[in-house]
Amino acid sequence: MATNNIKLISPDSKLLQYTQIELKDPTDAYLESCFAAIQQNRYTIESNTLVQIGQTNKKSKDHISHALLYGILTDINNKAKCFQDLIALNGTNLSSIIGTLETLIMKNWRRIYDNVRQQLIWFLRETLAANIDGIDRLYYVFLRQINPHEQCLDLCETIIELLLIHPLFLKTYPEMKLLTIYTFLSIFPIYIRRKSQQQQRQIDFIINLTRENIHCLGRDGIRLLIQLGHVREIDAFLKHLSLNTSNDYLPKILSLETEPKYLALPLSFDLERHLQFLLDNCRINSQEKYYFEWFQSQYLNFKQHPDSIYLCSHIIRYVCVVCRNQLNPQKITRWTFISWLLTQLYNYQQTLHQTLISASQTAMNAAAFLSSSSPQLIQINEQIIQCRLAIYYDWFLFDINNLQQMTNEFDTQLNSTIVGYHLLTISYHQAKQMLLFLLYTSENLIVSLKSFLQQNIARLFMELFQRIPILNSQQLLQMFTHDRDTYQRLLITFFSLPMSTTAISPDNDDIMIINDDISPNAAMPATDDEVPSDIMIMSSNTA
Amino acid sequence: MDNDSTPSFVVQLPPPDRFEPTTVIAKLEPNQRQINLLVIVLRIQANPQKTREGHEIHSFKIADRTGSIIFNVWNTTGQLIAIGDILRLQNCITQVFKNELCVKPGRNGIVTKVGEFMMDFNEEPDVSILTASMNTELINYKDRIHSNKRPAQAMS
Repeated sequence: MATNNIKLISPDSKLLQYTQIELKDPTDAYLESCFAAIQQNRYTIESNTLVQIGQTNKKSKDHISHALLYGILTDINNKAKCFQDLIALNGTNLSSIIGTLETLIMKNWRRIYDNVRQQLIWFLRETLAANIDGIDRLYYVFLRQINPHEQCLDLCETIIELLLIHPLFLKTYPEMKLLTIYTFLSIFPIYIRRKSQQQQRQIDFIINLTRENIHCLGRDGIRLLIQLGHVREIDAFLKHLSLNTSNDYLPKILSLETEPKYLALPLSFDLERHLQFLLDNCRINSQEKYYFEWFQSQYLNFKQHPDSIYLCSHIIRYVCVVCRNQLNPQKITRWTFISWLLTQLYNYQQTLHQTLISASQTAMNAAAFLSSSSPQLIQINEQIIQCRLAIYYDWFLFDINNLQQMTNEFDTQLNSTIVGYHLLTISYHQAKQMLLFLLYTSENLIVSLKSFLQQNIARLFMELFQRIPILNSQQLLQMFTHDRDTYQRLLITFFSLPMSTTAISPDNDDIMIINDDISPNAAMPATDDEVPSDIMIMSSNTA
Repeated sequence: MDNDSTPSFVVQLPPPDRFEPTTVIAKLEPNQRQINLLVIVLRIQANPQKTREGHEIHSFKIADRTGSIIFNVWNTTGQLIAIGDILRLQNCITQVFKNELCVKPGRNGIVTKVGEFMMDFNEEPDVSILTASMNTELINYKDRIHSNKRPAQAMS
């Protein structure tokens, strides 16, 4: 009988950790072979001969540069000498080295040894100080590691401290400034829970940058700020935006669509690739259960990694805005994926709820116990609202005048709003929840722009009913025949002929913050049909 | 400027990675050898089973674009494989085990993880389920093996 006699040896590496069944990464192998060539050619890393060879022999220059890079990453004692030689050899043009590091970090961040990561950060610091060309590319791959999945909260602190020490970098690379702001606004819900001495200074730094540049980020910048409305400084900034700036300043920011490169920032490189692959290739019924299960175990394992709930709204926003519809009817649709994602969140919410109910069996006042004792339940409730906002955000800001008279697939506005429309067809209960969400959020999101937001939704409904006649207003209203008040409000707000356009007179009302730690269980008026604590829209933080 | 008299710096670059699957799952039959496959792990087929010698047999369902089959692997290798892994199987053999066709690493078999998640596959047909014709062939094969052994037994 044949034995299962497989020899298992992990690839030997100073850069990356491997299991015994993995292949050596090509970049790792190349760097190692360049460094090994130093000894094979009987030189030493400390000698100046390498630089001389590289300067006179173009073929060897690239190999020697990579050997020096390997020395920086693995040899702490000689890293400064290696860096000096690297600059002597290449000047400020390190494009080949930066390209290699981009590949190494993008593919292998999780496998990189901790000491090598420290060396990479040291290299970033030195190249920032030396004002190397193309350093923004390297900075970007580090920035992308800061997201609700990888978290890398130590890296958050390091990056901010670097930016404080080198303020010229963001002035030289304004695009990096905007990417940095968006990244940190995305990670703040997790980051601010971790108390550190420098944190207030760091938060102030990011908020100052945000104040100066919010008009460049577009509508999703405002969405992220709304998510952080419970932070005192951000609440003050939002009030300032709505009260103290000119009447059309906030609408102008909201009319600007945020570019896809910002929406990709909260997703790690792997997550983005896997998500694109899943939406492009997954076939209905035959592959769905496998790909969805793998995706969940990798990125949405709420029980083992509770902070992954913060990823959901960003994934949804990316899918709605950046991804396109599949024309192949055998492949899954974006709304199928989002519906599945929402179901996972609801299931997790129910699990937490049940856990609390069992724990509260012995409590004297079970309701008070439930409402006060679980930050996790508050967080999941908030994130469910954020997910719904991510789906329907563009509905509030739909601009009929910008609609291209082309097919649905090519118009960017319709591309993102179609997802929310199809979600209304998936299940009765979900459609009801979403309509109520649209109604109440349109009334409370930005009170001074209430009519504007509601008119946009009404016009979008009309447009979608005509272009994609799978639904009509009667079907949607029928869900509320038992609740005449809500029926009338929906009918008047969304399904009547639009009012004549009048000038919007902003009130002195504040932007209503969606999540607020003060009264976590404030909810819509309950009806007979709905679960009272389902949607949580808070009252404003009026002074 | 290139200078022919400068000392050389010769790098022995790592060899390029070349792998070609020799077959696909749909073409697998019992008692084949030297099989190279590129597959993705769909699920854990059964809990690890212990042999009398203390080895652990891990059983997975693997698939490529032509079908799926059971993959049995022992000990540490099985512990390192996770669902969603894309595996390169070299020098594997097919075998009928508990009336199911399965693949396992051969004497010099190599199992390498080359990726995760991003591979198209088809779960059907499930090649592990032996067809009637395969069953007949298998019985005939076993009969041939036994009849080859009989002269040696008579001599002893």
